[in-house]
Amino acid sequence: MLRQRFQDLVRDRTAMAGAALLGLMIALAVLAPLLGGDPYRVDPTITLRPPSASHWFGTDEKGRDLWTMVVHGARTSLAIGAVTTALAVVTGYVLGVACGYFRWVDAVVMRVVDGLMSFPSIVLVISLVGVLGDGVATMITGLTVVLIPMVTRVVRGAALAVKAMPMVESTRSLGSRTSWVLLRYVAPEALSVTIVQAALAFSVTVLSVAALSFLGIGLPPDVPSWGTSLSAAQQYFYSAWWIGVFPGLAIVTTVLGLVLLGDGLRDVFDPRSARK
Amino acid sequence: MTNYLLKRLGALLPTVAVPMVLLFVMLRLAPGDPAAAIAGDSATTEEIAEVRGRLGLDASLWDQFLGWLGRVVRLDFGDSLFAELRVSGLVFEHAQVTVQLTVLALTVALLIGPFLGIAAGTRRHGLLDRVLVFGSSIGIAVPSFWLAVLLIAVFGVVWQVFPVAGYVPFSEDPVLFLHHLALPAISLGLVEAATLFRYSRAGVLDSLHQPFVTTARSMGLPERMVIRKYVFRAAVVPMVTVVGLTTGSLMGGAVVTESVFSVPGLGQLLLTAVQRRDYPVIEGCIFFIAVVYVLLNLLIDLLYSLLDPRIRY
Repeated sequence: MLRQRFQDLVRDRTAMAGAALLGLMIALAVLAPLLGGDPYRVDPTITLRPPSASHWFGTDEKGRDLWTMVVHGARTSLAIGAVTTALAVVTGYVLGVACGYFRWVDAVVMRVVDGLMSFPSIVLVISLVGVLGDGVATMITGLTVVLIPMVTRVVRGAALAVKAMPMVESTRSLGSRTSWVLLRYVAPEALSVTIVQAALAFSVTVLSVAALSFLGIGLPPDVPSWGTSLSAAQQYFYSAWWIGVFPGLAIVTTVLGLVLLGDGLRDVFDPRSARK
Repeated sequence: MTNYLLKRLGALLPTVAVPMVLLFVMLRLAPGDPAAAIAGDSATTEEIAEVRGRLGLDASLWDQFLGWLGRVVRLDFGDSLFAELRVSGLVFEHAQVTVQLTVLALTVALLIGPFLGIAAGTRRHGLLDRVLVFGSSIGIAVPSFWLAVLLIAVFGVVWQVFPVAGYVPFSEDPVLFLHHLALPAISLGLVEAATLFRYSRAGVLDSLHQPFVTTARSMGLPERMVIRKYVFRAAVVPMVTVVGLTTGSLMGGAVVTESVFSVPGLGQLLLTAVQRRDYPVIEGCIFFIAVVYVLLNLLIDLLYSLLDPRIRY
């Protein structure tokens, strides 16, 4: 079953294009220490140099090599994205399955989920960072809190659908315990929609981290990040277009990869909602 | 009808309550002493105690919650911690600008997204469709603040046709008002147009296979007529709901875009408040955004019954 779906995914051209883009960014992030120099080395003698053989993407306003900043920015973005997505997906999955199966959990959790879902997430994250203080941990907490409802809602829908299936009813009438029904039927069925949500959650995180660091919120200012680089570009765009272009392209490549991969995953894992 | 409205309001209450309670809880869970952080590094013990008193952090947690709830229900958010200004006044003043920007951006998005969505949907698998679908994927991937930076560079700095920053009130000069808000509205609206495009294209594809469309075709109506009178109408009604959601994300996006263009809206107020940890102002901003969102969605529900005669409350 899983193997068949994987083969379908490999045959999907859009999904593979997305996977290639994402794979490229992951490779850059993992190999950043080999590909780039030291992102903390500031050299005031070479500020705002245009792209050249020694500095492929030019240098920024502090004289740091922009290529180094972009690959290390990939590290920051993808690391925060991966941690946040993992936390949100696991929590959202457990909550979603519980909501779909136990009515009393559903009544409580879904009210909270509805409240958080409709609120503009970036505003909420900004405010949470404002309340909790700056820092990577705060940012991950804030982003996770706003992403959990998204996953929960979709997983709950899948769990509800499974619960209504005849196979669940028959196994229950044969005397299976709730834990068995959950583990054997509900949890695996809900997994496929969760995979689709993971790609979506990842893209939301990457965009949010970029927006937050662009605004100077959350990340310390010396941590290499695409948003921080773009923020500097506002002042120097006219004299140094490269600061405004390359970090932005990095964001678009990553998010486009995730969006395309997510579309492909949805076609394969959640065909009911995809082929509407 | 009244019954229905009350029910909907009840269902929308969490949108206001959950973020507010979350902020309340988070401030109390925050590591370290928030009062000390707000008062600053050089604050004396008395100053910290004073901030703690103003935030009501010195009472028991339950008393704090009751007091807080009482104030929120009375729409009393107190004063800013840094200026002798009422939070309600500050929020209201800045909100006007954000609402104007949101409306303009929504106009941009609505002029582009659904129109292209219908054009692409009715020519499925054609060249136009493919180009637009790819374009919309890129549109979704481009952060609106980056688009803003690029637009400023091209239209503000190189060609100098639009101002790069600032704001002029509508009452002062409507032309300058639009001139200043054009780039922010376009950068915000274009990104959202990509989402609207996807929904309207899906809506068209959906309604192309509806039985009433087949009937219209078999009656011999020209295809253009079928699309205009049947497909279009069926595709537009669900869009109304999407507009409600879009407005939510536009308000969120406005917060970021405003900072790029130095537009004195809610986003700027919120950012300054977050940097200074001006807690009452943060609370006021969140409350306002949530309430606007709720009222808007209520309005959209009502609009639905006008657009779709099958829906009656």
